[in-house]
Amino acid sequence: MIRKVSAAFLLFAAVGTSAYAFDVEHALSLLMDKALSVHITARVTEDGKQTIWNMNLSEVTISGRAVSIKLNGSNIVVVAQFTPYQETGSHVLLVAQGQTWITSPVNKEVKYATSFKSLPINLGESVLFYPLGVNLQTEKYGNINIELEIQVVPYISDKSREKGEASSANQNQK
Amino acid sequence: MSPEKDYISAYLDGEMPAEWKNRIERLTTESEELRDTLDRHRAVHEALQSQPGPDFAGVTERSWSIVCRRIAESSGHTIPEVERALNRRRRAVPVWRRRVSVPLPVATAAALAVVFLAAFVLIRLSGINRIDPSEATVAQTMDGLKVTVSAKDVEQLLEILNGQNKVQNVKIEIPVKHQFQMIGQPVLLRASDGFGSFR
Repeated sequence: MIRKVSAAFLLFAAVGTSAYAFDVEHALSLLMDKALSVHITARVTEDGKQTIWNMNLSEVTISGRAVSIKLNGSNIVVVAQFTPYQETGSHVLLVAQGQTWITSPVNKEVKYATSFKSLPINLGESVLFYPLGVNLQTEKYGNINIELEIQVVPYISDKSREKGEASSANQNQK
Repeated sequence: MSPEKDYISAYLDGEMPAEWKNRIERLTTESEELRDTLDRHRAVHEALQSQPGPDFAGVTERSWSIVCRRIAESSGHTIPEVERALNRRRRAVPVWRRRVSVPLPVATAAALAVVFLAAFVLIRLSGINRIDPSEATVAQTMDGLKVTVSAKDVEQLLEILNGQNKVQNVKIEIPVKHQFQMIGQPVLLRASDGFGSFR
């Protein structure tokens, strides 16, 4: 009798565990569907027109998770955090937090500036962030300035890309 | 009667605390009555110690003989026959075949414990395909990176990631030849508005 009861309990436990099994592959695919790519182009501009140095980077994130970059220069450190909050459809609220430490070459005084900005944008739209600031009235960009261009787009995994390419190839054949 | 008399037996058995032992020794030197009592107790104590201990084996054997004799008388067999039969029966049942009475609740609890232990071992041995949802382990998806997340579904996983307040840090070195200075207030604007290098 005890053997039968034990076997029944064992079977029940095994079936119950299978029902709650966590499909990791499925969870990851769902997570990837909700992922966002943040493309950032950091530029050093002269007179606000000419780009004298630039660097591109892309980071994958999810809604609400910040992408942080740290720019180290000779007399400057800029830490900028960009947090995309995905709203309905293609609307995204981009929150930018900037912290700047800058030393004066004359008296070695350290200045600190902090900012917290938000802007509703659409996916794929380019946004500019100037941690050193600009004068929008006079459009004075300064002799040398730092410009960060941010673009938030839906993340496309390699598998999705392959699928998309395969489906477009099929359509072309038809 | 002084209370110390009650403790004399304990004193002789060596069960008294040191302070009481010293007190009784002092009192016995002072009180003749107490000294007499102590001597009497000690004599009884020594007499008992000198007696041999009870012979349990002999008593058992005698009891066994009485039982065999009574069975032989009532059954009509001889005493050696009864002894052989009883000894054979006593030795014939091995330990693992003897009946053991266990209360039903205890037996049920033991059976459940064995079942859940076996299930736990099976789940652990069955690998990643049967992961406890409360301790989902995402393993070997990214070049040796192993991440343990306590989440029941993706929504909860996203909430956890959001709540961690962790950021992806990227460090960029700007060419050192440039000297920067603050120009105004930090600004966030759309590139389509036609500012900066997008003019």
